[in-house]
Amino acid sequence: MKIFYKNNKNIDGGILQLIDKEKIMSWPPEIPILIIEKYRKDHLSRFTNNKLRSQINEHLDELVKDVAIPLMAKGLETENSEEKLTLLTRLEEITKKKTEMAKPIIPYLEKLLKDENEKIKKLAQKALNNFEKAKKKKQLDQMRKKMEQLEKDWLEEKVSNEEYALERKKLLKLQAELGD
Amino acid sequence: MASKSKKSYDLKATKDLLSQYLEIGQQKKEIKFPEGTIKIEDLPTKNTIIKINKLVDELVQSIYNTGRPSIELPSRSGSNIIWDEENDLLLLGKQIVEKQFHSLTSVVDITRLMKVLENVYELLKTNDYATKREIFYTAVKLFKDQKNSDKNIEDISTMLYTTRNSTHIIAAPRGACVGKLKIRDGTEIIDLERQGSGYWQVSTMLDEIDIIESDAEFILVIEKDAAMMRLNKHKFWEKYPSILITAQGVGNVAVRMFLKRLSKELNLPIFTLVDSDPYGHYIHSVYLRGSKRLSYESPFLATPNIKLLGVLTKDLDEYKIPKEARIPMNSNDIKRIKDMLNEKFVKKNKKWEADLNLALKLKIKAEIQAFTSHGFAFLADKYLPTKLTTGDWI
Repeated sequence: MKIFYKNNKNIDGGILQLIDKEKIMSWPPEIPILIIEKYRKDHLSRFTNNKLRSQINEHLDELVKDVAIPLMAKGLETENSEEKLTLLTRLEEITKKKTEMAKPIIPYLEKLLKDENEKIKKLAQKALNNFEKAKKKKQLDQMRKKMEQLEKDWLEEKVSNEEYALERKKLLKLQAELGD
Repeated sequence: MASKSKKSYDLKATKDLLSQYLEIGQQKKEIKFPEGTIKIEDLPTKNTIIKINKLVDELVQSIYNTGRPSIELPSRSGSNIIWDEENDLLLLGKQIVEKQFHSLTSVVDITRLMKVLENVYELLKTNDYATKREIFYTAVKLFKDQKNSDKNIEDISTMLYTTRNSTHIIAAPRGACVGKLKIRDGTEIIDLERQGSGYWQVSTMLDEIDIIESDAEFILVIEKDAAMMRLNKHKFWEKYPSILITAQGVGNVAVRMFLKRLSKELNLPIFTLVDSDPYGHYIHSVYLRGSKRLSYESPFLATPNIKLLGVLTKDLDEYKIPKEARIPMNSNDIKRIKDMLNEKFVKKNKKWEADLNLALKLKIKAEIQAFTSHGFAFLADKYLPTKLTTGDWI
């Protein structure tokens, strides 16, 4: 475990022990990235000390860079198509639900688009589509917010009909694309 | 006398111990098995399957060669249990027993043994797990009593020189844990601080569990569920950063294995809080150096640096436990105390010996709940913090 001191250790001795590289090396390839990002998202904010938070963030970055990504890359580069397919199926599920956390795997999925195995290619494309879909969903949310304001402005005749129609068209197009 | 103490304690002695552990703890200590003892290994599934295949191949071969096959395994009788003073563990010696297939006296036992072996093989092959009770129900007529299948389960582990966990036969869930700990179970992070008024049930499938984070400064193992509930109610673990565990009595394999894991990975001071009676002392001793029955697994289950925090016999006077909350010992209690005083590991520990001698002299015992006579918060607000601050433990 990696040890961090929460404050001045001479004052309160508060310590924090966090999982280290050695431990996560033995996990299934798709797990480390998920757990690290989940920890960063749900548990890091409770530390009010900025210095401590940045030290932990640095440690988590190291875990991602030195273990999580190489582990996943190794899993995806295996010669064994069956193993690769199992890992890709898991990754495809992850990209559907936890898109933000799974972002570091995009370059590895892009490489697989050239794989000889059609099933692998298809799954990699499906996973990449999930990222694209998530990106567009985010755009849609932003656009909806923008439209709310635009509608008010349009009613008050601060915005022209053409300008409003153009933005409205963009929104409808995006909605249609996402089947929303 | 209700406790009005809201004083905050600095837990100095516990923090000093923690600093020591953190300094030396990073150097991983491998157990060196003393001469005359056997080495048991925790094996990955694949290796256990290989061992079973080898064993069965040898059996088949001996049927072809002699027509009188037999199985040899380390004896688990009292005379073959050795206390390793250096590691403070109970270990299994090198005495071997032979079970013959053709002998009328052992034919039932060997048939049961083979049935359990078949079950284990199936569990390993399908990556499944079963409890001891489930194993019994795979052939009720053959085993007749669960005691028989339980014995065969232990025989299989020793025969394969591995832990019971490696055979995929697990303990029924019984332990509970709460406090400053985050663990991974599959793709989820379980926060043991966010368990509401309940606890996380210690998983029997510890292979699937990993420790992610902890900001605890010590671990407290509690004999009684009621005491655990009381401490959880007062959020003791929050005020004094800690992890609380209970096994509701003697720790089963899952709890002891989990505690061992916490001890190995987190290097925190670990204390037991048990009733002030011979059974409480026995519970502490099982956590400390293993049980005689499972001595072959001691290196994987025992926590040799665990301290007995209380309730000590001397505490009854020091914390003014009223006479009506003290219980006279019966003849069984006295016999148990005398038996414990004869154990080498007790004789080696003078403070422990002195407290047991005092119990023998006073012939009284008391439950953890006896502190309630000073108010519901006394245990969490006064007794435990005082002991953790002054270092009054064995």
